[in-house]
Formats: sequence, C-alpha cells, structure tokens
Amino acid sequence: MSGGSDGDPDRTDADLLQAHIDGDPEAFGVLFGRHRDRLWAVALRTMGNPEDAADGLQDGLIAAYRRAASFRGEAAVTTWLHRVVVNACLDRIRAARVRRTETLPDDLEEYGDRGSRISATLATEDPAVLAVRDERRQLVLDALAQLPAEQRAALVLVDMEGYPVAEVAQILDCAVGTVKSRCSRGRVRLAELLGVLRPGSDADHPEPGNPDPAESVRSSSAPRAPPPDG
Amino acid sequence: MSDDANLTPEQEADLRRLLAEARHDDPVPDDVAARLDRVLAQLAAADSELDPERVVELASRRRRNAATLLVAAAAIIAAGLGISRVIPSGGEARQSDTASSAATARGGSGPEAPTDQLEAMAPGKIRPAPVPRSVLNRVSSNHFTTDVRRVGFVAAFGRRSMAYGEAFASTPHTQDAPKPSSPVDRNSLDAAGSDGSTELSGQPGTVTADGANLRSLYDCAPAAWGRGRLAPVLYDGEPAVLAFRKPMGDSRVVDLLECGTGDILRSVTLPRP
Repeated sequence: MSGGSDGDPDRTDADLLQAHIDGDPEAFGVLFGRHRDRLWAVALRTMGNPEDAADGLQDGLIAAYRRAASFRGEAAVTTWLHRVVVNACLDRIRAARVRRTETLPDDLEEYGDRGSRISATLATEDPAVLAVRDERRQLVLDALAQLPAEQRAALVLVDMEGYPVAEVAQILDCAVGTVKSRCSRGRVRLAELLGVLRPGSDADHPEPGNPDPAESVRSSSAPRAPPPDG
Repeated sequence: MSDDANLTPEQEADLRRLLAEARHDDPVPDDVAARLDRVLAQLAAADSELDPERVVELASRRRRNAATLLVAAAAIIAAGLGISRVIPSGGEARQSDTASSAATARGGSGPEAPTDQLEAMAPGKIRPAPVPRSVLNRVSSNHFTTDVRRVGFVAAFGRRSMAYGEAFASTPHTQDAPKPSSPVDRNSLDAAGSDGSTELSGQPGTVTADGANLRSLYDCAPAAWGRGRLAPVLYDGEPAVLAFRKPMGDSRVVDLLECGTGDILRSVTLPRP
C-alpha cells in the first residue's frame, strides 16, 4: 500500500475485495491504496485536524478490512469504503462530543500549515493572490468546523469532493432528501458564519477596511502616578 | 438567522465554490501512511494466525470454552455490578469520591471500601444473584466508542471475576483463566484468547442452574469469535459480543460481533490500556 500506488491495475476494486475475502493477503492493501488519498481528504475535512483524521482513517481501515465480507455489492466498492471511513470519523466525533460535552474541534490552525496549501502553490502565481486564497480557505475551514458533524460530512462529500448526492446518501446511509437538507442547512450556516448574507458582502473578499482594533493595552482607568508625598 | 433562510443561487454558488477551493488535494502524509501500512501488516499477520482448519479441529475445545465464556458473562456482569457500586458513573461518581477516599483512608474496612468489594467477588464468598437482562453491559450504536471503553474497563476485572464465576460452573476452566497478580489486572486485557476460536453459547450439562439462568437471558448463538478477550453485551438491546483484540502498538481493536455468525458489526480502535 505504501505510496498509495496501484500494484495491481488489472484487477477491479470488486476483484480486490473478493480476493481479500478469499484470503489474498495483499489484495486489501492494494484496494485501500487506490483510494487512500481521497479517504484521507474526507477524513481530514470531516475531523478538522490531522491527528483525529488519522485515527478515524485507521478505524475505517480496520473496519473495512474486517467487514469486507459484509459488502453486498449494492454500491461501488469506493462508496462502501467512504461509508466505512466516514462512519468511523463520525463515531469518533460523537464519542468526543460525549466525553467533552463541548463543541466540535475547531483547532484548524495546525493543518493550515500543511497539506493543500503547499501543493496549491504554483511558482507562477502572485504571492498576494496566494495569500488571499489561503486566508479565504482558512476562513472556510474555520466556519466548516463549527457545523454539526452530519452537515459537515455532507458538505465535504458533496461540495468539496464533488460526489453525486445519491452516492453521498449511500455513503451516509440516509435518504437523498436528508443529504440535500443537510447540505442546504450547512450552507446557510456557513453563509452566516462567513458573512455572505450581509448586504453588499462578497464571499471572495473579507470586509473592507482595517480589522477591528485590538483592545488597547493601556488601561482606561486613571493613569498611575507616583504616590503623593506624605 | 434560522436554518430555514434561503440563499440566492449566486450566494449558494459562491459558497459551493469556496468549499470546493478548500478541498484537500494532498496525499496522505508520510507518517500517517506508515501508520496505516503498519496496521495493515498487523491485520494480515493476525489473519495468518487464524487457520480455519485449526478452528474446526478445536471444536471440542471451543465447546469447553463456551461454558467458560458463559461463566465469564456472569462474572463480568457481577464485576460490573461491583464496579458500579465502587465507582458510580458520572456525577454520582464525583459525589462519592470523597466518601470513597474517606473509606479508604479509614483502612478500607468500611462497607463502601473498594477492596472489600473486590474481595467479596472472590470464589465462594458470595453466590451469584439472578442476573436480570437489564444489567448486562449495554452498548449503544450512538455512543459506541464510549460504551466500549466502559465495557473494557469492566472487563479488566474479568480475570478475577472469571475465577469467581467458576464457582457456579460444573466444569473447571481455571487453565483458561489465570488469576491476576493484582485486584485490577490492567494487563489482563492484553492477553489474547488461548486459542483461535471460542463460543459463548453454553452446552447442555456444562453449566449449573445459575449459568442456565444467564443463558436464558443472554441468548447468543455460537460462532467463531477469533482471538481476543470477549465480553457479552447487549448492542442496541440485542445480544452481541465485544472482542478486545490483542493490542497492536499503542492501540487495540475492539470488534462487535454478531451472535451466531461472528460477523463484525462494528469496530473501534482504542488506546492500549
């Protein structure tokens, strides 16, 4: 599986899964390697940080490995893999929510410095344009992290990854209408968080003018003075 | 703004474009890829240890272990009851911390002292009470990871409790249930089963009336559960088995297995205790 390369291009996903069920020790690694990068992307965007995404992806890997025989061929193998990984991620989010009884993770700063920001950099692009794009991307990710997990997963799969709604319904094991509803509510919430709905706002550009001034470090109380003599 | 607010088509298109631009396009980081490779290798290695022919040949041993597991079921429930009294969950636990600490400080001789609770579970000291279905470990699909952690904690007492459970089993199984060196043997969860397959369902004549009571309450058809430490549970109200697999590195896999088939219904990776 290393490197995510396809070591067996002649066999379909279904062939590999069946070979795994039949005892081929290499088949599952080849299959997972084919889809690993996209599964990672989904896990990362769903979980919100690379550490939890790695845990979720590992959970999904193990579950898929062990539950391969339960695959009934009603969907594409890749859809099934996404389903297993997304469920593993959502399980982790729910468990964390129960443990911490607080909002979903929003510590996205860490992976802002790794991943796609680097790959998106092209030598020919204007650094100023890149800076604006990075800032905008981070705003979107920050807002996305504030959505309920189910809405976030739906938006990640539909709007980020571009899967058809019907396939996402299979991945999330819910009705097509539910996926549409989650996406719609998620977009509205995102629009609110990003200020898209404010009159005259532009999704591509942050609010004009300087940011709100930080609170002055100087106290508003009366200036200190030497204690009065005597 | 409510969720019912509508976006204009332009606003929706803007948002979808922003989301698409935030897509992650990089491959799996090297450290994560290495970790996944390692896990896959361990899974394959674990599979190779499970020789189906060996499982068939061990049928008689599986039947013997069935009674052990049934006994373990009762023992784990009893341990759970004991632990729930020793360590009440949630706010109750926090409220009782002071009292428990005080009891311990008094030398653990009071009726609430944890050590006394554990001693009370030693073989022959008490008889198992009838086990209502409501006290079986319950695992919810909505809180799967949390529930599995809780069951794992209870199962950590299982080795001790299994010996206790043998008190009401007619077939001795002590060779499969070594006693721990301490009341709470955290390493007991690290020990894989002694063979590749076990059954939970009891065989006629191997369990006395108390065990039979449990069997009637916890009706789980036999299956090949694989290696690991097993815990009978009710998963969304239905009998199932949690299999705590041998730890791999810093984590362990816990499978939820279907009665009768041994199919894995769900899996979760937990930190090694």
